[in-house]
Amino acid sequence: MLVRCFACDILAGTEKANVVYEDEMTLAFMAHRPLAPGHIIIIPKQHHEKIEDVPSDMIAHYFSVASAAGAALFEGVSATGTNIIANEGHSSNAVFPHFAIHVIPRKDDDGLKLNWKPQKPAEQGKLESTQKKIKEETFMIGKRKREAAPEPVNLDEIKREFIPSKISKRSGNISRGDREAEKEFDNHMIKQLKRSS
Amino acid sequence: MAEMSPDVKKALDEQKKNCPFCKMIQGEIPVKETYKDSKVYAILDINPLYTGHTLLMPIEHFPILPYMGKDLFSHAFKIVQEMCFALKTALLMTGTTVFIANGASAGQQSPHFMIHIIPREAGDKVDCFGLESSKSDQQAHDDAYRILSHNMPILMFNHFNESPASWHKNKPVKSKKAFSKGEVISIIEKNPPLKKIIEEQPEVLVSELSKNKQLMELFLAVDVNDIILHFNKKWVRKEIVISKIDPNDQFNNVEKMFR
Repeated sequence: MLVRCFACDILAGTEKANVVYEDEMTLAFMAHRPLAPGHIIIIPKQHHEKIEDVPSDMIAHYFSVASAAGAALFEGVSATGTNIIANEGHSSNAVFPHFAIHVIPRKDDDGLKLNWKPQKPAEQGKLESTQKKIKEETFMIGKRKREAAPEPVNLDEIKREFIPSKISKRSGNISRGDREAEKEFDNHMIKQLKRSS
Repeated sequence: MAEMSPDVKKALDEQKKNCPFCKMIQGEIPVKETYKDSKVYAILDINPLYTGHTLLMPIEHFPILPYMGKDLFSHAFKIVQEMCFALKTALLMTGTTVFIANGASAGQQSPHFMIHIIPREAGDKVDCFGLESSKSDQQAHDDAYRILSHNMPILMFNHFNESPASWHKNKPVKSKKAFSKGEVISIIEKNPPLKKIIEEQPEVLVSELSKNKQLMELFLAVDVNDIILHFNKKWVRKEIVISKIDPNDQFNNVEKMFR
């Protein structure tokens, strides 16, 4: 992978991790810097950066592994609640650039601040404009197939072919015929000046 | 997916009558709706954490995630994926956070199950979803690891029995810990005391095998007689029985638990 990805290192075996569950498509391991004892991270074995790159028939499987992890945490760590969080994309809280689902056990007095305080109610006008913008996109859900993300291109392997095309005068690469025509024009102007002076 | 007992169902029916979100779905309370189909419903949050904060909820009333049926579960998370893409293209944001809270101690503030989808970008001042921390109890974390590595494969085994997948084979994936013959020989050569024992007193090795866990793991996938013969040419082939910890069989201990 082009960028160093901690999750891909764990899959390759160069980094250590306490693996809780593994199958052909997923890996579930304990977090290295856990928020609470029992923090599990679930990753697909292929590198996907955004949630929409994950194949749509596998996304339910990853979340069902997360749901099973939540059920195991209820009994194993005697948690009274679980949080299932997925920070994806280029957001400020993504732990690695690899799609991951975090499952965190919660108890009443653990002191974690994953909740946000309800903000002031938003202005109606702003809500309506966001609603319009989002509706234009969600209208297409189910009616079109999203294009798959293009595979990254290895620039070292591309053979470049030079195809001479029409080059404009502005770019500075003037063709031969144009250059001669310019010279003739300049000579003509110089002759005019000499005649006049 | 847990099944609901009749008591739970009765309590849920009572909850439904007072649930503000069920009323929103039926249209009694005005909401800003962004997506609707036969199974799920998405609205904009009235007190948003950021512009575009969306709540995605199933039309049926459930309190927490384990009570969802299989079909609804897979449909809902496909829509989560599409919704994230739609939010990012409509509002020109680079990332999203999908947040689910099961239980009041996790921050669930409504009786109706819902999934929060919040658009994010690098440099926004939303700090509450930081998922790394350096202060926590490492001992309790390791204890939890031992319990969970036991429980999770069982739960997933049951999950695949109910809803089998075409790409899933019944046997769990082979763990990487089983050493091949060449690796075992190189490990022994790096360990002079062990090598000495094999060359001079191989019977000690055989008797220690059944007691020492590290030796058991080392010799799991290889024939012990071959290895000893490699170092000690006078060894006579014997039948050696190691107590079986098969890396392919994660459910070895489970059957003993349930007898």
